[in-house]
Amino acid sequence: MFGKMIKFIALSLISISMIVLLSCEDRGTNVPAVSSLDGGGPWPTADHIFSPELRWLLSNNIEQLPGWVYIPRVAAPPPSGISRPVPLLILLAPQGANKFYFAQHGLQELLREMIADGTIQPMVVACPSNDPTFGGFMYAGGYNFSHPVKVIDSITPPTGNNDAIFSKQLVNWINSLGFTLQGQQKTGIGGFGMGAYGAFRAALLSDAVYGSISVTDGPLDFDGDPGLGFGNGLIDLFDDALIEQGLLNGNLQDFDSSTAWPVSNLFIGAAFAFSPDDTVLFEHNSSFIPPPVWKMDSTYGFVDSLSPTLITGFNAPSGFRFDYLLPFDASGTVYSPVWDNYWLTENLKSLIDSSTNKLSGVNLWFATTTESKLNYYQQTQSWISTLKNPPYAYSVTEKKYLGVPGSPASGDQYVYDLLREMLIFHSNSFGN
Amino acid sequence: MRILYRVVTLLSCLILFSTSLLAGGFENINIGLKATAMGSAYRALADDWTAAYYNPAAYALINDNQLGGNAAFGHYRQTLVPNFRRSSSTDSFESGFFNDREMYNAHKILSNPSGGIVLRLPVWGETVFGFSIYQPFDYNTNWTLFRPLAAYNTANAIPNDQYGTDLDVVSFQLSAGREFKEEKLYLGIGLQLLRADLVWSELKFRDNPMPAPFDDRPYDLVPQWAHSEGHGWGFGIKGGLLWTLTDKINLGISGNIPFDITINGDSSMLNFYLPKVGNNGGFQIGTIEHLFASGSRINGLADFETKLKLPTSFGIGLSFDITSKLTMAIDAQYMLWSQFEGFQFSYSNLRELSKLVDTSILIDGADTTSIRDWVYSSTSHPVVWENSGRVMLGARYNPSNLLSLFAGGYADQSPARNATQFTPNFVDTGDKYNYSGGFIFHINEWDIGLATSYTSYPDLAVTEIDSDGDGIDDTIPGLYQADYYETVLSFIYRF
Repeated sequence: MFGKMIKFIALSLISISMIVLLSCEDRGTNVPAVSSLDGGGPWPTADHIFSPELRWLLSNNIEQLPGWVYIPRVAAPPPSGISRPVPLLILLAPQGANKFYFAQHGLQELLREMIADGTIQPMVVACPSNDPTFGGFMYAGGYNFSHPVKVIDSITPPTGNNDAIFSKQLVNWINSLGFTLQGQQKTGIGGFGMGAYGAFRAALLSDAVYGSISVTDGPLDFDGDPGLGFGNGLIDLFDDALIEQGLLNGNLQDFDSSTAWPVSNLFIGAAFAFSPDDTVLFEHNSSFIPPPVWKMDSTYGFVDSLSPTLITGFNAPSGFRFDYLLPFDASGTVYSPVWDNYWLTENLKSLIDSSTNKLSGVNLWFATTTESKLNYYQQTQSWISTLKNPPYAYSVTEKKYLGVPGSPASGDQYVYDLLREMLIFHSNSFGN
Repeated sequence: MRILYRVVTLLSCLILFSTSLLAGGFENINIGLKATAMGSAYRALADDWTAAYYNPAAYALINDNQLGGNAAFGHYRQTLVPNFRRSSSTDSFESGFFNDREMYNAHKILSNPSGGIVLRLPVWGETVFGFSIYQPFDYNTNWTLFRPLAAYNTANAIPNDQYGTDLDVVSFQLSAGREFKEEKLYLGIGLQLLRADLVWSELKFRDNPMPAPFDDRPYDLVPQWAHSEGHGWGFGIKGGLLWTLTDKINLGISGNIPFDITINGDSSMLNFYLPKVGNNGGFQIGTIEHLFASGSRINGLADFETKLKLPTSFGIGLSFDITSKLTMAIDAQYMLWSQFEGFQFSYSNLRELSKLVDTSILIDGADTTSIRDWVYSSTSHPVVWENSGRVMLGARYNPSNLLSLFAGGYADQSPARNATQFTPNFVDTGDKYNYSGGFIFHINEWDIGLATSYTSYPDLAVTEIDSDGDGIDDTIPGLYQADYYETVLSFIYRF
């Protein structure tokens, strides 16, 4: 009896000891180690003079395109790197954003993290500034607007010869620095909002420069496609621009270029690019020349940009005008002479018809949300529809997303999250 | 026997309806070795100094003077697989929480000493008095669950005790028990002086008051680490009844009314970890905008006050002497956890803010934010708990005069089972089951023993709840798992 009791007690003690031991085991907290980061870094003053392309660009006397460039460690010269060329991605900012736009949404940290953990391959990412004067000129601007030959390097309009810059010269300049691999597959372009239009425009005007394009919603189809339920594109915004200024059925001469009016600014920037009125052009090796073909109408749809409400910093030489033609009249109705002849010719649907490569073989990625502003979602869907259907029938990667409650994706709220996916898309497109 | 029948019926009803009753919370269920080993079914059986906690009336049945002490060692072993993302109907955006990873609360073996003395004195006939010190409420857990996204800020590390609760309520109790009806009815009372100590840490996520784009993701939410340490004093009353129904059956009834305790502290830290925006947002050094875009930290210091509303409880228990060596006990308890409302911290004597922070206002469209007010706005951790119950069962077996063996367990429920603000500060995941055992050696005037218990918590999947509609979860969503181990070493000296 006593022996049994001893056994029982011994077993009990062993069991209790096991429980105590188990309960005392230290598991730690399982907090993950801090991720290692790519040792590359930004070149925040990658500002480059494009002359003569920017010689007569409004408020830019030094002909400089500001830029922010990330250079991964492997691409940097010794001793920090090994001078290994890597692919190039150009990211175009939305309306009103400068070269720090993507850096201010975490691009540098994303690159350092994702390159280090192998999520993406090392790449140079260049972020040129959008123009600060009117928030941007749609990354457009070339001498002969209504004709297919867009790129004439020697001619610079008041928006800058952006077509020349973004379709080839920016890439050429970065490639000349020695950090990047050359070739269409190793070069990508992306953009947000107005930058989305700029990305496609640059790719369509160039001859197989870009092998991958990633964009968010933007002004990608000016007249939309109401037949497919995609609305009327920018046309639906005409009266919005007038209403925000209280000018509906008022005097267009009072059309204000203040940055307080974002919809108006979009049209002003685009009008300077697509339908300047009597604005002079500058030929770098000779003189100022007025373009008679642009002198459309001095009484209707014409806005005198030297009106008292013009934003500051214009730096206009005396005697020269910087006027522009709006694509709508004072009632917010389409003004066909301008809209049909100077705006729709710049619509992506028109540009792809007249382009050489027609985006053939280019990888395409879209992030699109019903919450986007300025009818951008409808325009994007219309453009996607164009690309996916004959005669193009391209494969398109489409990410649809929505913002969280209280923070809709109407603007830039989710740039950080979209950048992550855009970088992965381009990394995969660059190939091995 | 009729009384016995009624009591058994009452206890059965309590068990049957236990799903509508809750206990748990942060009550320290086990005080002393025997109670621990018997699953706390001890109201009708308490025969040592720990009767101060379970039923002061049982003091009247203690024939010896005694001095006793316990050293309890507990370990909350908790796991959380966080799923704290900002979610829309189609997307989930990372937040910086260690999502989808098994995270453990900080390892800690909690020591919980208690002790008491019992004296039979010739006062008011013959009354047994006792003085005891123990912890009727106790909770301790600590988590590291979050690190800001790299794009947010890598310059300033948030301390590891991000979600932490160290709550101790110590009772200094003077008790008395006396026979009121010879060998039938005994009554007891305890007067408690309560000392509450609170160390509280939590992360709050505050709307960034900066205008766009400097409040875009991942800068939209600013983590605020609030850490408060303080203490307060209060009072409580315990009362009990012990009724000897038959030679072999005792009935115990007891209750406890603790009064609210105001906890104060003078070193409440309110630290804000601000985002590091590329190019510092382009703002000029020395401006509030630059501060909010340059990865800096705002450190606030203040006095704080919060109220600890402890729950009233009452219970009933029966003990049966099955044989001369075997005694069984069954208890049920009901606890008014709805009285506990969590913690609302209000701050005063605000100090140590820089002049820039103290005087600046940020403007975002039509919204203006005084940064001083933003820093010192009161933080709260409200909870909506429900009243609760517990059913306990225990057995004592005395194989010889040298040895007593104990076993028991209880079924318990969480007052937080429907909580809408579930956070790691209190991990009480639902109905719990406890299994306990222990032994005591009786050596002359000494009783020396050991007991251990294991409490199994159910897994709980907490989902996102944003009850105030501010776009920020009020819960820390994820899968919670928990266990609790406790071992008690005990001695009693009779004199």
